[in-house]
Amino acid sequence: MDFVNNLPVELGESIFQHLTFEKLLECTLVSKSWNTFIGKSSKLMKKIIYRFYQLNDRRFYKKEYKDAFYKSQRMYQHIEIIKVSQNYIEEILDMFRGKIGNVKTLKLKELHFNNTKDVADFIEYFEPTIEEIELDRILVNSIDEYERHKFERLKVLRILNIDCDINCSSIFVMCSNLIELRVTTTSFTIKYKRPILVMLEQNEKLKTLELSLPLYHMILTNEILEENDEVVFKLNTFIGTNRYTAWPLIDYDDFFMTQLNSLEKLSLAEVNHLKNIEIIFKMPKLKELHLGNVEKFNMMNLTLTVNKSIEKISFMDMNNRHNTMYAIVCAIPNVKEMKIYSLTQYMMEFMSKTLKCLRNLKMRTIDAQDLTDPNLFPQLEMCSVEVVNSDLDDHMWSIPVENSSKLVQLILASNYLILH
Amino acid sequence: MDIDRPSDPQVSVVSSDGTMFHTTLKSILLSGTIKDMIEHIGEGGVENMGAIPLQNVDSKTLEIVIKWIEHHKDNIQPTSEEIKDKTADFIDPWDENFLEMDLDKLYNLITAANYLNIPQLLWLSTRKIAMLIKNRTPQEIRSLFNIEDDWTPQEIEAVQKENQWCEEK
Repeated sequence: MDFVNNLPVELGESIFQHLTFEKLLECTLVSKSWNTFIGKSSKLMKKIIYRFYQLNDRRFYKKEYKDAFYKSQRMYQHIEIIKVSQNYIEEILDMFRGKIGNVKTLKLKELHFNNTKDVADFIEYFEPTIEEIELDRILVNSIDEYERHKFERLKVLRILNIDCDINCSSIFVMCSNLIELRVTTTSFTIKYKRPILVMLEQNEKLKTLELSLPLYHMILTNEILEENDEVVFKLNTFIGTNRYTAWPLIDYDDFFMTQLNSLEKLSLAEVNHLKNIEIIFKMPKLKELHLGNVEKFNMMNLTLTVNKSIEKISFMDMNNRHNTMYAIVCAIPNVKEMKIYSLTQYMMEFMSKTLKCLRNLKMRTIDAQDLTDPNLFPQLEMCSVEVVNSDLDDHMWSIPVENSSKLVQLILASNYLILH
Repeated sequence: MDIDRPSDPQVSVVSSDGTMFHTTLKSILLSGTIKDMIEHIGEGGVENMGAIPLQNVDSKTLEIVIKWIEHHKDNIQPTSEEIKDKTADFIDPWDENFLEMDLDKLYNLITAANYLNIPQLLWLSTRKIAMLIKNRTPQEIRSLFNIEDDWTPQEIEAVQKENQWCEEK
């Protein structure tokens, strides 16, 4: 008996839901009714993305391909359009006529449009149902300043790697229900700050914000605070990415004060102001902290507030001096997971004693002769090291495994590279 | 607790074809549907409550369901919310063995587990069918479920082509 035709729809869906994406697709070949059943099930189609990829004159629109898509009754919810030449974007829209009502997520990557209006027109087509949009490396010849589009359903918006300017964001100023906004740019000059500022002013529900430098500089310094006395959103997650090395000392204190009590995850590629690192450790809900280079603090006498909520931390300090490392280790008594560049023997011994909750340690590199202490990190459960620096007459290998520390046992069991 | 009152009182249920089954309160409470019914009666009324009629479950299936709930009466049951994202980790060998039955029985069990709202049993029984599909080719699936191959070669090629453009979310 065929359950697709004989069991209630939701029970058929429950059966198919146990299958992987590949197997589910294979099941569409069983019969017409199986193909239709899967294609019309909103629960099952959640697992499937339809991808228009690298379509150009050579490859696109062999007739049968186009026909198959037209005849298909599948209700795709996730669409990706990647590296499709400009001529065919309009045709893709044609193919979606009549099927638009189901698309919830749309990802456009490496596409070229004449102007921002064309981008907007394209996206607006999906507006009635769209909840998530990602624009990655979208090239636009010219920018039209207009704001007539409303995306009220939109919850997630990512505008990534915009190289000319962040103009694409001007399309989205009329969305007021965002919970996640990510804007990253590879360009240093920004003319169009306003759309982002408007979005930040509107979206009270915003929980996750990612911006690259110089965008996060603009947000974090008082530009936003000047226009708006109060920051409307309370973020759980803030990510600041960075592509520029020489950046002046910036104090983000005012911004962090507004987010002090809500932030649970913070990632900053560049922290170079003492005030910033101090305030970060005062955040009472912070669970996850990723900091870029903290070398600058080695010159300072750093004392940090003890933060009991931090469970996961990573930071870069290639100089491997003790000042910063010591201050941070003292401030994170409950940390479970840590990712760092390297550790000296002294720091390892200190951390073994101090960080009683540490279970997972990731390091870029370590010197084998620093690993002789058999009492290193007895409580550790996972450890990975990318490169082990090792002299020929190394202690690490001369000690029997059962007498070596938990740290060494875990390193030996992992994949690492030995550098002599 | 009242000394005369057994800690797990007897409860009776009647199948759609009129057969009466006796089981215990603890076992039958695994069914969300029956739990709701009993909660409306109030606890004091359980002993005086008559047999519970189950008009959507036949006697053969009810017997199987009762075997399962009696075996699992002391286990903590996941809610349907919890089970939604569950991936198959460890399946109790008793359950594995219990689910060895023909397809018709399995379908009836799925329908009954759904009607009686027993999330774990529904998860196990639908998973059992999925496992039958998992290691079979489309042709083998057709013969297992007795499905007619109604594709023309052109049509199936079109679906294969369409599938090539699909990616995992």
